[in-house]
Amino acid sequence: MIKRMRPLLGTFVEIGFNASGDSEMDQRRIEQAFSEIENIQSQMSFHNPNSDLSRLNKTPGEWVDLPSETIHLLHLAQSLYFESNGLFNCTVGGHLVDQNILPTHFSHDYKPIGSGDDFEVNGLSARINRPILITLDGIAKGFAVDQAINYLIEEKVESGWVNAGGDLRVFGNLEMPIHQRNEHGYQSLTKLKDQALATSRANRYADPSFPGVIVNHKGQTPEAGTISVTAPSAWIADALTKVLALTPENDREAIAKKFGANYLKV
Amino acid sequence: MKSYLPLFAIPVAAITSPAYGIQYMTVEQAQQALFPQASAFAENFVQLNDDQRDQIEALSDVRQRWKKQKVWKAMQADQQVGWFIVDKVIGKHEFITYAAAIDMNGDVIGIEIMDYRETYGGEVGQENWRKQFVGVDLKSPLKLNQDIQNISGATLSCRNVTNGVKRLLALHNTVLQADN
Repeated sequence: MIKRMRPLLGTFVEIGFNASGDSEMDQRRIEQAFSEIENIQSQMSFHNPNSDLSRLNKTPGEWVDLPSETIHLLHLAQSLYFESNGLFNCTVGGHLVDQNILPTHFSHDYKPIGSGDDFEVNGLSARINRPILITLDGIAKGFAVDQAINYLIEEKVESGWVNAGGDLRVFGNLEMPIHQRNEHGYQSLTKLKDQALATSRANRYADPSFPGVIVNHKGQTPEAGTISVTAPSAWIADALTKVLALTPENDREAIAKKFGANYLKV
Repeated sequence: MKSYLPLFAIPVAAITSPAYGIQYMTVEQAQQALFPQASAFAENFVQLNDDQRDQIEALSDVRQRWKKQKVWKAMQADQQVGWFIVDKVIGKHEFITYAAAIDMNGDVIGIEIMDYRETYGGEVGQENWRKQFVGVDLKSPLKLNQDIQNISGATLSCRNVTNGVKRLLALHNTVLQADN
């Protein structure tokens, strides 16, 4: 097994897979798998004022040409907004900027929180119709994992995994035991095979070591806790951790099932 | 009754805290990955005086804690093609050794994590966590829970490494560039 880790997506990304026996080919695959992730980062980073997402956020009311991956993720985020009755909401960027959780590069006035109706996608262009700020942070990390995994599968790598700071996916003939890191330390969680898993933590207070924040449509944080979800792909697992954090414990299992996913009770 | 008993309780609490760690690359492997074209690496360890450390902090906003920095010149035949630097960062939950490659223009070519360790849990005080690393190098790892193969948890920030790289660029500016 080849295993590498690099600082990306604001966290530590580990990529591992079966060695082919040809070290030059393995090195090329490592570089390409990481660059799939860098590509998503450079397109969809809210922090980077020059990312494609920032270009869109800066020009409400105008059609903006975007790369196909960003378009695809905007589609996914929008449909998830409606399917989750607004629990997954990518238009909370303004609120997170006001809370100093996300940086500001914006000179125009914006609304703290909008809805899935506030932007539209057409072909390879998108337009923000009311001045909201889109953040794809709740979904892009998982999507980046999927992109790297898809590349490795296309390369006919036998088995492997990508773990982007807790958003991880395993493929091929590999069963991987996973531990959950939570407020109690490390706890055995599950065994993953041909599956993705994501974990998010809702915090009552800001913790710079774990910068993620979950808020509802009113900007309120849910009850503190650590939530893990398994799903066929990493983007949906990533997104569902936020949806389930905002769902009462008793309804979580049913909501996860609706999206073909599994809520892991620890 | 002897008085050493209360003291005994403290190290036990530290030992039972689980930790997770992986070595990804040796120095040689990281050199090869970051400078595949290089034919040799010339050791060029840097000893920093107080003025230089202050200057690095002023440039990067990050404290240069140690006086010695492990630096190599990446050589292709007789020509230097860049700098290879090994650095470490210690956070609240993580201890990381990484390598950075800087080209002759002072731009970062790449970063590889060489060794990654973390521990997390309410019972682990920050002081105990840091104490585990006094005198540690890659060959003397702390007690690791070998059962933990992969972790899913709240996203751990890589800001420590990002700041470390900022510091190394300032070190390059103040010391390495001036040397050449």
